[in-house]
Amino acid sequence: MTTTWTRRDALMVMGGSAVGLMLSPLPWKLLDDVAIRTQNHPWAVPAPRGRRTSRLTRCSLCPAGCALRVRSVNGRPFALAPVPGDLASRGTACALGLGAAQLAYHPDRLTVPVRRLGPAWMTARVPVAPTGAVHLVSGWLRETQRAAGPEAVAVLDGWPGRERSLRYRRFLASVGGGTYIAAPDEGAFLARFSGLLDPHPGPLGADLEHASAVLSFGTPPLLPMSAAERGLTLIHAGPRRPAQAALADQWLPIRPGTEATLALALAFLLLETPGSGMLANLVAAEREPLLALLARFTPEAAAAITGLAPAAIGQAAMRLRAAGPAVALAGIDAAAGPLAPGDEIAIALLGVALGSVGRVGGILPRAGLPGASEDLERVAIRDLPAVPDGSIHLLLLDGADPGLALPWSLVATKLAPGARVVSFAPYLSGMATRADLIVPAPAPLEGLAEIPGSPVLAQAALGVAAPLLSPPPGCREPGDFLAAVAAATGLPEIEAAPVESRLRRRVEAIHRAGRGTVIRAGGGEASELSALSSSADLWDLLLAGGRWSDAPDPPPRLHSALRLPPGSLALLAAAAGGGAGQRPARPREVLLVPIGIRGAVGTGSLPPALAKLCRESDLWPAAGDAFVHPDTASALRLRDGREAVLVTTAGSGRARVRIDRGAMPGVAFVAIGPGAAEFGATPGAREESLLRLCVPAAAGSWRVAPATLREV
Amino acid sequence: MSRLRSILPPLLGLLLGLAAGWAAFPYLLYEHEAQPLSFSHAAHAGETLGLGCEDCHGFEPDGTFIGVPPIEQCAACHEETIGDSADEAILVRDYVQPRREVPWRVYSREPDNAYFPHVVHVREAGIICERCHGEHGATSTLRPFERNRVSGYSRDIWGKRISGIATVASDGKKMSDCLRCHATEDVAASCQDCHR
Repeated sequence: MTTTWTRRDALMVMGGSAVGLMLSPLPWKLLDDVAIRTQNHPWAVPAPRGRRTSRLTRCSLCPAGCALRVRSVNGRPFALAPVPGDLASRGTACALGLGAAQLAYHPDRLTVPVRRLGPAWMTARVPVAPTGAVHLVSGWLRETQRAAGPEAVAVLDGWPGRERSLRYRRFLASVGGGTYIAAPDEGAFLARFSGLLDPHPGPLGADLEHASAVLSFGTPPLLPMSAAERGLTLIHAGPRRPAQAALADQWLPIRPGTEATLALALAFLLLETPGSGMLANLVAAEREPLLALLARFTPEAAAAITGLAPAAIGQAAMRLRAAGPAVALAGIDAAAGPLAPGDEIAIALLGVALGSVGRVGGILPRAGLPGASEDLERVAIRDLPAVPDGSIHLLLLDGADPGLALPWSLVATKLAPGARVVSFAPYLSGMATRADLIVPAPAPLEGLAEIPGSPVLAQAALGVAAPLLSPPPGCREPGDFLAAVAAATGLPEIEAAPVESRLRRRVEAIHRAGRGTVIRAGGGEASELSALSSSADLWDLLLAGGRWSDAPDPPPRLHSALRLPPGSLALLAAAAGGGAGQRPARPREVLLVPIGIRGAVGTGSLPPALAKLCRESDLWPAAGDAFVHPDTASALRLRDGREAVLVTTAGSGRARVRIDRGAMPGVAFVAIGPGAAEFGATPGAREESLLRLCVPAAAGSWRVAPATLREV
Repeated sequence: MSRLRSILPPLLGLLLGLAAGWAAFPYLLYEHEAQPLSFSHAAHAGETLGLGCEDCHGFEPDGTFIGVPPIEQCAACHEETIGDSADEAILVRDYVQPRREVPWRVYSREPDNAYFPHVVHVREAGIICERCHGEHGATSTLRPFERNRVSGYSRDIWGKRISGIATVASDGKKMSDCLRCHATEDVAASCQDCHR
C-alpha cells in the first residue's frame, strides 16, 4: 500500500502541531518569560552578588531627611527602605527617596565635565578635562568682571542653607561682591514676612512643634510627625488638593488667584472677635486704611470672589480661633511656585490677626544652625525677581534639585545677551540643559551630604548622609571647583578644606552650643545633646542616620510690629479684589494652573524604576495632561484622552485632555512633569514643558494664566 | 482505512506539537552552566561532619542572611588540601589561598525585584530549610545550574516541571508559591512585604 502526502495533509499536520503547542506550556511560559525580560531595562543595574550588609542613613533629597536603611552588596547600595523606629520620619519615605539608589546609574548621568558646542540652541556637547573646565570658567569670570563688574557674577542656589551654600557666598565675596540668589523654596514666605516686621527680626520660622492648627495656602509644609500625632488641625486652601494635603481636616477649594481674598476675609472675621485689639498693637503703620480695606472683605463679599460658601469661611475662622496657637502659611506648589507678593502680605496680615507672631506655637525667630552665620554680609541673599533684568553675565547653577519648578524664562530674563551659564548638576536634565558648561557634582549617595531641616520650621535641624559610593573621577564638589577657579583667576583664596572637615566644624559648633536633642535612626527616645560627651560622638551619631533638632530654651521673644511698606495696600487691594485669576475672562477661556508632584516636575531626574512604574501604571499624571471638569469639557467640546491645543499669551502647546470630576470648573490643571524623558524615553530627547506657557509676573509668580483649550 | 488515513496527519501534527512544547521547548529554553567546583553537601552535613545548614548558610547578627558562605569560612578547614580530589586542589589553589570568592551559581536566588527575608521564615516562623530547598542538603554533587535564556532566572524559581505544577512542596519559588504557602499558613502578605 502506498500513501501519497498531499498539500492538504501538510496543512493538517501544521494545524495539529498548532493545537499540540497550545496544549503545551510553550506559549504561556514564553509569554511569562518575555514579560519578565521586558522589565529588565538597560538602566536597571543588576543587584551585585556578594556579601550583603546594611546600615542606616538619611535621605538627602529634601529637608525632610527621612531615615533609610541601606542594603548593600560588597559595599554597593542596591536597595533603600524606610526605618520604622525613627522618631522623625516614623517609618515613612517617599517613592523618590526609596529609588535614590538608582540615581547614580541614571541614563542622564554625567561623569565628566561637558561643554556645549556652539550657540544656545545646539544640543551637542563635548567632554572637557577638569582642568580645562576650571580655566574656561576662570576666563569667563575675568571677562565678566572686566566688562560688567562683580555683581554680574551670580550663583542660583537650589537649596540655600547648606555648607555648600556658604562656599558659594564665600566665592562671590572673593569675586568682590557677586550676586547670590536663593531659588524659591518653602521658606520664601517667612522671609518676606520677616521683611514686613519692624524692627526686622531676622529669619523666622513656624513653631509647628507646638502649633494646634495650620492654615496652608498652597501646598502645606512638611509637618513634623510629632505634630500630626498630637492631632494638629490642618486646613488647606487652594483650587486643587495636593497629595500633601490629602489628610487635611478641611479643604477650602478657592478659585485660582483668590488666596488674598480668603486671607483678608478670615482676618476680618478674627478681628471681629474679642481680643482683636492685637491688630492695633501689632500694626505699626497705615492702620486705618488697612482696617478700612479689611472691612470690605465680609464673608459674603469674599465668597462671591473665592467661590466658597460664606459658611465655609466662617467655619474655617471658628476652627482657627478655637484651635489654640494657629499659623497661616503661604506654601509653595511644586509646579505653580510661590504666591504673589500681594497674597503673601494678606496671609502675613492674617497671621497677625491670628495672634501667631511671637507666640509659642506661632511664628518665632529662627535661630539657624550654629556655626552657619559667619561674616557674609557682603553677599546678601536675594530673590530671583529682585535681580535686575539682563544684569547677569556669568550664572553658576547649583546642582541641588529642590524638586520645585522654576520656569527658565524667569531665569533667562535676568541674563545679559551672550551670558555664560555653568551648571553643577549631576545629570543632563532640567536647567542643566541650558548650560554652556556642566561640571557634574556627586549624585545622591556619592558624597557626604548635609540635610538642614525645613526652612519653614522655627527649630533648625541637621542630618548627615554618609557617602556610600565613590563618585566618578570626573565629578567634583562645586565648592572645590570654585576654589580652583578662584585660584586660577588670582582671587583671594577660598578655603579648600574637604566637605567632611567643614561639616565636622559645623557639628563641633552645634555641640559647643549644647542645646537641642538628638535621635538615633534605629529607634529609641530623643536625648539631650548635652548627654553626648564630645562632638565626635555627635558626628558618629549623625553619620549613622541620627538627627539633631534645635530646642531654644527659653523660646526667643519677638517684639516686632507689622509695618507695611509703601504700596502694600494697593498690592493687597489688587490681589484681593481684582486679582489675576478668579474666573476666565472670556466665555471659551479657561484658567491654566500648572500642577505636579515635588521632585517630578522636570527640574531633576527621577529614579529610573519609579519612572518605569509611573509610565506603566498611569500612577502619576504625565507632563502635558490637562485635567478639566466634565462641564468645562462639555462647554469646550473636549473629549477624554484627545489631544488639544493650549494657547496663552506666552505661546501654544499640545496637551492631552483628561476629564476629571475633581477638577474645578473653568480651570485646566496642566501637569508639567514628569515628562517623557523622566518616564524612560531616549535620554536628552526632552520635550519642552508646558510650564513655558505660564507667564511669570515681574514678582516671580506664575500660578495662573488665562488660556484657550481646543481639541485638534 | 480511509478514515484512519484522514486523521493521521492532524494526529501526527498534534503529537509533534506536544513533543515540541513539552520536551524540546524546556531543553531549548534552559542553558546549562556547570558549577565551578564539585561540592558534596552530604559529606559536610551528613554524619561525617555533622554540620547543620545554618553553620554555613547562617545569619549576620542583624539578621541578614549570609547565603553563600564567604571563602574565609571554607578556609577555616580547607587552608590545606584535604584528600586528593582534583576539585579540592582547585578550591585551595584558586580560591582559598588567594582568598577569592567561588563564583557559585545559586539555584534559589530570588529575582532583584523581590526581597525574601530568610530570618523571618527560618527563625520566627520555624520553617525548615527542606520545605523550600528539598533534599539539597543531602546531595553528593552539584547539578548543573539551568538558566532561563529569556528571563535569565534560575529554573528552580519556576520549578522543575515545565508545566509549573509542583508535585512536591519544595518545587518552585514563584510568587504564586509564596502566596499559596502564606494562604495555607494563614499569614497575611502585602505587595510591599517582598517588593520593596
